[in-house]
Amino acid sequence: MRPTNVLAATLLCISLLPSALMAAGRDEDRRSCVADQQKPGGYAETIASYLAGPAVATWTAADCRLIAPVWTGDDDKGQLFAPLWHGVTAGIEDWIPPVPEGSPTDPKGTVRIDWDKTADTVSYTLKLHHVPVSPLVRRIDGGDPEITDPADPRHFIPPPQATWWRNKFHDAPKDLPVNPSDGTAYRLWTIFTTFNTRTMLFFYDAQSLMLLGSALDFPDGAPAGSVAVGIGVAQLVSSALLYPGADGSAVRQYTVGYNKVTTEGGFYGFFVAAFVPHNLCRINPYQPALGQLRPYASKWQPVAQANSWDVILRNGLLFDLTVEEGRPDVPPAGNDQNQEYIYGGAAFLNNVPSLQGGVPWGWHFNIPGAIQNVQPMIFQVPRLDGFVSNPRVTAPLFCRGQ
Amino acid sequence: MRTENMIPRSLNSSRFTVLACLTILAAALVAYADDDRDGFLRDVFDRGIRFTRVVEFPGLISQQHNACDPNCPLPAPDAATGRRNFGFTADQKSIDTTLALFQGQSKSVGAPNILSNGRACATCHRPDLRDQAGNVVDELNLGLPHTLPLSSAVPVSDPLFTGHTADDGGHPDGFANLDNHALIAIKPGRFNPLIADDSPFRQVQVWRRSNRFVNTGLTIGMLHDNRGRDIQETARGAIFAHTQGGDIRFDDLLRAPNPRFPAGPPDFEERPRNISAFLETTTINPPQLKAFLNPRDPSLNPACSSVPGAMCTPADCRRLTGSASCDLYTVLVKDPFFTVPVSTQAQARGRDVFTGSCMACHNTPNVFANIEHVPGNPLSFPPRPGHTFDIGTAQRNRFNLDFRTYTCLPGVNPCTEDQKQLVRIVLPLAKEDGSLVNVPVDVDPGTASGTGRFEDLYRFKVPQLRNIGKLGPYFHDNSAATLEEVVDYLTSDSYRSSADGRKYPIELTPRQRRDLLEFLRIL
Repeated sequence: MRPTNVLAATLLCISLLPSALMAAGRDEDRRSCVADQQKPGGYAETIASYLAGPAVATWTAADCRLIAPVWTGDDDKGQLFAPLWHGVTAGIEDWIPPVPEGSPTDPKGTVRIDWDKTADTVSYTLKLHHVPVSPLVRRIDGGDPEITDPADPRHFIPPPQATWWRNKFHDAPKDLPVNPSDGTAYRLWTIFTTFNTRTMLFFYDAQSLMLLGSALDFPDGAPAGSVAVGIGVAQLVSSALLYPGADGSAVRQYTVGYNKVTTEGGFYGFFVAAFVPHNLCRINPYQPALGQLRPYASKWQPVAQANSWDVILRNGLLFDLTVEEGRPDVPPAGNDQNQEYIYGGAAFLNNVPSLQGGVPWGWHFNIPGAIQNVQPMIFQVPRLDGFVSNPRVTAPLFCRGQ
Repeated sequence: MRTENMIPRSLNSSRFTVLACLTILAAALVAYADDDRDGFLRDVFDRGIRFTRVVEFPGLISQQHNACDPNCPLPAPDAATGRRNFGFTADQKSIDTTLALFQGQSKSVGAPNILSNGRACATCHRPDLRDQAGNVVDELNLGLPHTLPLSSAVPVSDPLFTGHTADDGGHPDGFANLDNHALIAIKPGRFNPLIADDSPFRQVQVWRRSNRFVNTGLTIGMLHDNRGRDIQETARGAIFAHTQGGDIRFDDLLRAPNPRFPAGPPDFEERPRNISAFLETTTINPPQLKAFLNPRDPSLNPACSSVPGAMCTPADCRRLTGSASCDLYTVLVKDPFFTVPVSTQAQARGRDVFTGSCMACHNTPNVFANIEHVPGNPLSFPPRPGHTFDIGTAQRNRFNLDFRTYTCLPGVNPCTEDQKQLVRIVLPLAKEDGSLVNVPVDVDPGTASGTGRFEDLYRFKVPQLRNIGKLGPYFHDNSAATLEEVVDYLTSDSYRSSADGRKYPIELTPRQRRDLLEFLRIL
């Protein structure tokens, strides 16, 4: 080979390699903004510059580049800026819908919260980028896990064959939208007072050991013939529904009080969610996260009981953007909370800013691990496929030695 | 290949050369990019931690109980019973394991019974060594003797030695590392029932020192790698690990026997809770720091007063707040050196050196641990309630420790001794950008061994520094025998080339070094 050819080859590969590597990186990640994210320089400056000014209602370079939660300030005045990734966090038994085939980039969201105790404000800026517009949720009915008669058409079908199970304590519909003309929309949940820090009494029938409800369901005290068990709970507040445009983008900015953090619009204080055994016989009292843990959702609680933001900060934060039934009949700024089922159990974009670095894209946060404090608490998941989050619908009947 | 297709046909004859060139260049560029990107991702990861002016320790067992609802189903923790559960006599001068051993039939395990190897908390966190007249000859601060080998101070018939295989599984270096370096084999993920027995996160084993206990509780997170959210959970893990040789959880045995609840209390974790209460209240040093345990309790956090013997005065309040009225907690927060008895010029200069060179990490006022953490209760979402740092001590591996795990052959568990072998563990770690990297465990992975995060590699918790002169040897692996060695390490190239050493370089003149040591000795 002539020296000129070698020189040409060398020069050529030098000139082609950077672009080839960048192209390979894009192909590998399939994430929007990946080209910017691959540049180490300027990340901090981009984020700091955005946080130094007011939140804006467009998808900025900072939204594009953000890959992990950033905290500034203190409990009285500060900011949290966190990315939302597909399926990284979801409640036990939640369905993570797949990203539709053909999506050129993965969906992403960001949440920026600016709080100021003096001004009594907690201001949210929620942005969605390249999310499916009005996605459909079609789950496979697994029946009722407490019915064991194979002749019963609702006989229990375990995961992964099934992706939805009847639950009168979290009465979400199997499919969304329930009413086709409603379509679906998204709602952001801010979750706090996390599972090991605040307990609430749950009542079980002393004979059947089946769940009767919580202290919120029985405000006058324990129902007759019941046993009470203290179980850790979380509290949640939500945004109003978001309807992405045709390009899959949406922005929502709203402010609630610092001293009373409510749902957007100030309609409610919070609701209580927990993962509890519906059948007390199906729980190992010494290692509860190994037994049955199913969702429980209370009714909405009044604004008077809302928490202050510093209390929420001290209890840890999660974000969960879920797919919900659309409410096109509700006028703007009206109360679009769906009283029938609270939340749909279909988680789409989420993150855990109370975990340092959040949960990376493509990884999933393990709530049973968090409850038991065993590590690691994240594991890889198929990035674009649908899956059920930590299903613990049933378990051996420990009380019968099974 | 996309790149290959873009090469002109005229160069086909030199395809091999071009591909070789591409490979070499790509390797070089990717290696550079990876190094650069790893540093970038690490910085991104660290932005998830923030400095906070709020000095609070919400993982304390007393505060947890205070936060419990009036209908709280758990009994209040009892420090006196905790002392007995820990394994101490009433005067805390001797070991008494009457209420500190964990054995019997476990409902959660079934047959056979759990058999104790005689170890209690007090086995590794011992009372001070005393002579015949009862005088303290080695102040241990609930640790192991300073004298090495340990067998020169503790008989080899002591459960410390006879039970060592409960920790190291019979590792060939287990006894020697314990005796010569006071290092204990730890498997951070050993009792995780949610992952398979052969998961590298259950298999990985590290060598760590047994901590001495001063101001235990006044830190964010427990253990060298912060994997413990609070003392209660840390005690539970220690009981499982040091009592028996298998990876068996016997949670139900943590509640019996107990004189307060002979039939068994409603709290199956009562003994770890009692132990937590014991350690929180008895390890505070100096006593003013009790105000941090519960600022809302005036018996712990009194108002500053002119009364003789008061822990702070109105003058302190005026100096720090402009008002004549404040409480001890406020004084402790606003004056980080309020309780440090500086009395010489050298100590005062040393304090200034400390402020400039050490408080980037040791920034908890008057405690000198690290106060940075993700906002949130440590009990809510672990594993990283506090900020940990990579200062290069893991990579140094000064004692050339073998970090292979001594374990059963695949598929044979449990197994006989002759079926065990030393296995090099490879941890699959998540990078902040979501990519996965397999890291062979040849040195201590630090916090990453629990969290599974690449950015946590080689990081350890920032220890508190009160009484530090009596807490040696130092670092997670006892690799510095004296304070002088610690300071010399922190000004060495090894430190400066570590991730956080690059971020927080320390340069000291000989005089600054002397002054800093003078100051450290009075902490």
